[in-house]
Amino acid sequence: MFKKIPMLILAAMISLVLAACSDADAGSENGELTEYKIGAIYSKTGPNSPLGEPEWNAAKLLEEKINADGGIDGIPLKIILADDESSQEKATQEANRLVNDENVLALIGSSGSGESLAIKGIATQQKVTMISAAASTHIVEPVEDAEWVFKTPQSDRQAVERIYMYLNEQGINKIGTISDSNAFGSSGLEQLEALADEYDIKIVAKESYNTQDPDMSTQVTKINSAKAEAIVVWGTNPGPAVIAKNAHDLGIKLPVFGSHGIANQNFISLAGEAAEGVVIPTGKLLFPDQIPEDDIQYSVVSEFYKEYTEKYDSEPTNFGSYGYDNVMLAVEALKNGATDREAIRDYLEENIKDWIGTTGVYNYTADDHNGLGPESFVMATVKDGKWTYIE
Amino acid sequence: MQDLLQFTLTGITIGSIYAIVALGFVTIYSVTKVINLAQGEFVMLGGLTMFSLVSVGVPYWLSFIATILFVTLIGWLMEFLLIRRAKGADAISLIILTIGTSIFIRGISSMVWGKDQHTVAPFTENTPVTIGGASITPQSIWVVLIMLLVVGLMYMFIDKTMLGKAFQASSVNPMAARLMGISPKRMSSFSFVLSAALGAIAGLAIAPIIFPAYDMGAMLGIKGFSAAILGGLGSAPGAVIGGLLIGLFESMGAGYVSSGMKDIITFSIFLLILIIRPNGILGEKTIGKGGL
Repeated sequence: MFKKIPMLILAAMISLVLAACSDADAGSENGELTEYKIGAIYSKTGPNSPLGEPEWNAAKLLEEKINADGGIDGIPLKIILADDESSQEKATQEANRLVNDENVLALIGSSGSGESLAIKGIATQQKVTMISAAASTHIVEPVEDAEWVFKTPQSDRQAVERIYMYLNEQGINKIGTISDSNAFGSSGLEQLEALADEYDIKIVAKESYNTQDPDMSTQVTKINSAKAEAIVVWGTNPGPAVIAKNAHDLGIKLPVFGSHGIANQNFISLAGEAAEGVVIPTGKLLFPDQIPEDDIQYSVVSEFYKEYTEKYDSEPTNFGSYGYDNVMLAVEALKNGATDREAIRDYLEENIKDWIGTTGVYNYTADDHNGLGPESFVMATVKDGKWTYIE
Repeated sequence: MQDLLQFTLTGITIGSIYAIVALGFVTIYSVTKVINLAQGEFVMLGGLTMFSLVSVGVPYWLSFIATILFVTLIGWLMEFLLIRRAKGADAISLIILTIGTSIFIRGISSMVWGKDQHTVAPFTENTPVTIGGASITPQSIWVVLIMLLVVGLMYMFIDKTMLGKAFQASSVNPMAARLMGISPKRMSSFSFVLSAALGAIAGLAIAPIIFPAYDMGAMLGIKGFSAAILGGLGSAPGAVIGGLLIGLFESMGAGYVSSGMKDIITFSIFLLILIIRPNGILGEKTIGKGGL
């Protein structure tokens, strides 16, 4: 009988060791993490796939690269990728799964504004840091509702500011706007109107169109008759290409300005020669080879571009840069000892100052969870069928 | 004045696009009483097939023929595999069947052609023609001409050929037509083939204007359908008038009131006309009495 006691103790010890082992599988050993788990939700399929795909690829690329370099201070990084199929319902499901079942330290994504807003509530309720890759300002504003939510892409506001700064330089102060009637276009128009006074710009004609309209000559004619000095188009393909073509065919020589929504090669192939001279604000990843070498982002942008194109045989586009910054911001926090959900949030808000990403230079504060200024955009124009950097 | 002229020309350009799409709706409806909501997808297939052929260097005339043949085949398959099997189902079920087909075709197309828009070069040198200070591109003139040609051919076919008479007969009274040795089944199949061909012609004609993409069918389908109703379902000249009117309302509404309200203006007038003439502008009391 007594002889059995040591055996029991031994058995208990073995089971403890085994339990510790299985705990280690779940990610911790004596309270120490053995891997950093981050959940990433992107729209790899569905209508938002042109956004989600480069973001997804960037996350995969960085995970491999960081782990090949020995992880974060020796601890491997695990990014659990989930595809929300460009649907808000799916995004919510995946967010719940990642936060509750996978127990991730931080959530990144999603690609679209709608999907990001859908999972914002989960992040806030469960107190998990979320870093979105979508454009809408509403993701991080009002700031009281966005305690746990950050985002990396510039908002419409900065794009409008950048265009207005450029217009001021060019001495243009009367513009006609034409915007898509969808969410992207109307939110752009909102900013164009809100910021006009500040930059002493007068909007003399305000037109709109539906994404699939076949011809916008009427609107362009109206803007021209209103004596505007430039046309500002807010939309994504194909609308702006149709407008550029219509203006070209009508023989209207007004300079055309676009949004960052057409910062892609497809716009140029659609509009053809009518694209020549169109000016837009864009992130630097549109033409990494044209960024001057003394640019503060030069090395990070060109390095990412090189690695991405080598691995995927396609362009990372500006969306790839959001994917990159999302992961690297989380990694930056982890690297500096912020290894639980709350610490990551606090680290981002307090310690991300002049942090150089591929999209821009971030300065997060308690009031600003986007952290970018208009200078994170550069101006580009179409020259000989290619987007060209304007000094 | 110059603006008015420009708005008119733009309205005619847009209107012709709607009209040419509307013709396809009318053809199927007048024979089978089915509103084929996949008509927009025929147009989309026409545009994208044209794009594929032209981009590999096939000459335009050959691309025209190949595109029409290909889309016609799809139309025939749709009738043969789906509509015919469900014969005996009521019109509503058949219409729902066409919605399903359109989603299916769109899904396949997004895989074949991707989600981006494509470009097709204009048929001829595309330097805009200036009329009294307003401009119109030669491609828009092509669209108007092709539309007129199609309506003319349709008229010749329906009114002057035996097949056309048979077509009309099975639309007016399928039972009587059958007793006269006309097979309504074959006519139903033929109406799908014909409207697919019309869809293909619409698609290839507008391909250089509208950037063809897998998802363009829905918008064109709705506008084309509206044009067909406005003109009086079952009437080919009505479809043309309906299309042109909608195009002009849109352009004038955008030009003289507000581009944000152009749809509200267009469809208010649209409803008004339908209240005054419930069967459409050229519609007869019993629509589809063979008045194609």
